[in-house]
Amino acid sequence: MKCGVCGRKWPDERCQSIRLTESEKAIIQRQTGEPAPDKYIYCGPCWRLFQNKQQGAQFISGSMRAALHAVGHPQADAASKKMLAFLLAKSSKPMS
Amino acid sequence: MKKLPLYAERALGELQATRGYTATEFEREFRAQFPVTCKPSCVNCCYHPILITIAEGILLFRFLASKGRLTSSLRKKLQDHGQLTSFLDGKVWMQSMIPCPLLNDKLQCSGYEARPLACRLTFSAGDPEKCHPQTFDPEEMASTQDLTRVTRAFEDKLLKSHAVSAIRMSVGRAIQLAEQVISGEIAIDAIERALYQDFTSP
Repeated sequence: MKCGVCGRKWPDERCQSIRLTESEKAIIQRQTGEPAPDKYIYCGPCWRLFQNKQQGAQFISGSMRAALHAVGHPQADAASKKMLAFLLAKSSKPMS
Repeated sequence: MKKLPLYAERALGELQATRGYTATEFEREFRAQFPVTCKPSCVNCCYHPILITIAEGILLFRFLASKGRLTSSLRKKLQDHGQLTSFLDGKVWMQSMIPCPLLNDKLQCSGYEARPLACRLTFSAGDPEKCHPQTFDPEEMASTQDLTRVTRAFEDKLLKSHAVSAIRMSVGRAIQLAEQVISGEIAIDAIERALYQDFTSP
């Protein structure tokens, strides 16, 4: 299977897949304007990274920072810092 | 400290000598051509993915052990780093801000004198902020890619000629494995098997 994060092909037994609920699909479709996939696939190493709340949040906010920098967004650093704080706060609370 | 089989000790000795010479010569030539803009306490490059061979891991392990720096907290950092970065994609690693396990609370390298060659060949020649892993611009860092390729090829050949594995792994995993090799828990020619187990473990 192909990892949705790093894009590398991994043996099926080394991957994790997360099936989206209908409400999650609806949210993603509303935000992206495109149909949401049935499931997200993670390779073993990327899955391990997301199990680590600190580094997982760093990865998401870091990717955002890199993407905003690439298009020359003036608020790239501030926006990604805000995103990191939001993700860390969210990950320290129990899932609802 | 416990010695390894003669073939491995010879490979380590040759590697150590070549590493020292290459790094010193490169730094001298680089400084003559470019302004080095690295600043004290700038640790941007300590978040870059550095992969080393078991040979460099052994050199680092011996240095840390000889200086009494292999504390329980450093061991924990090495283990966590090894697990987190095992087979991790380089780009994902860069964005995730995973610090090198040797970076201490004072923002200094615990293994500075024995640091890997890749670290010794890294300098900033522009804005050090461009070395930040999330906004990395390779043009701002010393153009060491060619040199790295040549030294890697040399290291591979040298290690293989002494029957030592040239597979690269994270600093954390390499130092952990080095300790197991030195203690005799794992034979130096069984490194590849140990790494395969990492790949297949959940």
